[in-house]
Amino acid sequence: MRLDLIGLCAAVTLCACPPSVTTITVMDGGIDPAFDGGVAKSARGVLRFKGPERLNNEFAQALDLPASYVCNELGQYPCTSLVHVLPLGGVDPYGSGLYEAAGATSVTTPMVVDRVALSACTARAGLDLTDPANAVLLKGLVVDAQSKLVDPQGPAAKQVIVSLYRRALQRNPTQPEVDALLKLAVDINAKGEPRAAGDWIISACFVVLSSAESVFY
Amino acid sequence: MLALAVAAGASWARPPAAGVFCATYPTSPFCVGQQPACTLCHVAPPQRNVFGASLEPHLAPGEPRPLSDGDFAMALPAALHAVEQADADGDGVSNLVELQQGTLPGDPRSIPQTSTCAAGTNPQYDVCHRDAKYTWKKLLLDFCGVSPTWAQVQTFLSLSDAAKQAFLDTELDRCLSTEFWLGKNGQLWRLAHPKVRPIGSLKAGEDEGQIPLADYDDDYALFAYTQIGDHDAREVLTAKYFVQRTTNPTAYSTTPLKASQPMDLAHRSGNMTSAWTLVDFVMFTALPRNAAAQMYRAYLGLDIAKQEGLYAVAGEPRDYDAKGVTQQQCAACHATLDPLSYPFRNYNGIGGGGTAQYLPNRIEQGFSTLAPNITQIPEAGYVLGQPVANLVEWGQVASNSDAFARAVVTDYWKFLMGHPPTSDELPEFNVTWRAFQTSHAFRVQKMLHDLVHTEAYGAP
Repeated sequence: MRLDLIGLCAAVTLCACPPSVTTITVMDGGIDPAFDGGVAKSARGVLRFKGPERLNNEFAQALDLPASYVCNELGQYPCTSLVHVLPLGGVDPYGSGLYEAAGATSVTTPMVVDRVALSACTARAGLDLTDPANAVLLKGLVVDAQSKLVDPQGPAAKQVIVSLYRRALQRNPTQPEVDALLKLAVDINAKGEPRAAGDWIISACFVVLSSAESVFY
Repeated sequence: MLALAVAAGASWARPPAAGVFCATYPTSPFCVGQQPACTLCHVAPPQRNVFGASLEPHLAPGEPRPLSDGDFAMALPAALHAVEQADADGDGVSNLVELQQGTLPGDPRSIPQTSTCAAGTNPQYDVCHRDAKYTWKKLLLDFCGVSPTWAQVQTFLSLSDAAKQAFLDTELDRCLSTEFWLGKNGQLWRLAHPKVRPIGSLKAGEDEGQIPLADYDDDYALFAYTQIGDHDAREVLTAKYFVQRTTNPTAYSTTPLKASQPMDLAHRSGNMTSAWTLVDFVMFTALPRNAAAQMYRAYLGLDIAKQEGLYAVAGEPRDYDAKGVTQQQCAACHATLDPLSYPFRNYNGIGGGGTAQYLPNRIEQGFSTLAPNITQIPEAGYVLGQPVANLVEWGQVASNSDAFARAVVTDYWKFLMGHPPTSDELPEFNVTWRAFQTSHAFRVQKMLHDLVHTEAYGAP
């Protein structure tokens, strides 16, 4: 199953632009191994996981954060260079004598990627909501007194999505991708919770940063 | 298993086997700048793998066993030809094709790779050929550690095809001077970890450990220095100088003396004689086989424990330190390893009158009672089958070899591709390491420019 997942990631990531319509057949226990992502397959399939340093750099650049802000456990221990370095494919040469990376991702790697992406997105959203004049992602978005989106499907929301994709993946989003994140905005707004704008941008950011296209190259 | 081996007759990996194989198949990838490891025919000598076992009945059939080395050498070509059309490991590829493609005919997991293009196209990348945008983004991630921005991508896409290719070289040079690449714990240091094999608790100097014995930062500094700019990569094994690192930004420069390195320049030979190498790999050993094997593995890519790089020397091993290495099970490797280790005889590890120094009578002064013949260990030895008078010569022969050039390029190939060269990548790989060795005069930076322009690197 793991190999199938990597194959799927390879197809989707290397094409760097999912098709407008795809049909994914979900079988018992996972995605149909025959599913090709709707795109021509790479001849080489040499997809590589970005690993700790590159992931941290990528998330920092995408969200305009200092590298040290991306993720810290307990607010002080860096996730990618200290706490979770081994699951992310790093090494620990001086302490543990691990001179080379394991060569394969571990069972906890996806969780760590999610953790780092969520931390980075939360940090960016917090900064944007605190200082809207200098917002990076929530630029131009109108929120009410409870920080709910005034127009969750308006042009400003669409522009936030475009900006997010350009920053993280260096491409424009496809229409299905825009539609999916706009629907997410509507759904979150409909719950009536305060700070819906923050919840939405954190979720949207997480979707993009934790995608296969974002974490493989 | 042992009984099976005995019943089948003695079948030690023969000293002439690799040479005869390469005389039979001179263009096989196993013979381009190297010789095949024993594992081509053996699981571990004497146990044969399925390919080796399939050869045995064709080796001078009817002749009494064991065959002499001469008879074996005479019989091997015919035996190899006799099994060419068979498929010993049952992977669907004939033995001959596997030998021609550089995959193992005794291992069903090792089969020739083919990169065939699937039907259809993708809107963003050409998945069948070198793609400039893909290559540029990959290059930035590999060497700078971060993707281009949206704005940079738009600028790149506006360039002509020729300008895009030229821009790749400009970008590579820029990235090779970043902290991500050459800084402390950057990518060059990461390449060096398995060579230096640091131990934090024994570190001296910056980030000192509980038992500070030597400062391996010096080893990283020399390694990094030899990999950047217009520097000669061979000097990692031959340098008669030391390297110091300054920070903000990181820079490496040479110095004739360093307080942390007690080795005199006459006997210095790059990282083979650094304080850390001698402390960690020689330690308290009379005949430091571990040090020799590690240098062989780290810098020539030859792991004796995996039966790689075996060039048996006639009359060896002599077993000067009475470790029993003349037993047949040991001799297959020690006929190479022991003469590889002799040039370390006077390089001291820890204590004994001079930590990490050259002591002319080191064995006589510190180990004379260890074994009856131990003081007869010569300083002269062999590396890659060539005689050398001392360790400095060892470094020169090793660093000028095909094995060194292949090992350097293989390190970067694995780093950039995520795997050693596959059978379909071998033609580009061979061109790359040959150019590194010849026209580029062992300059890594020039080699990297070649590498990022290969199809293997730039085709998604």
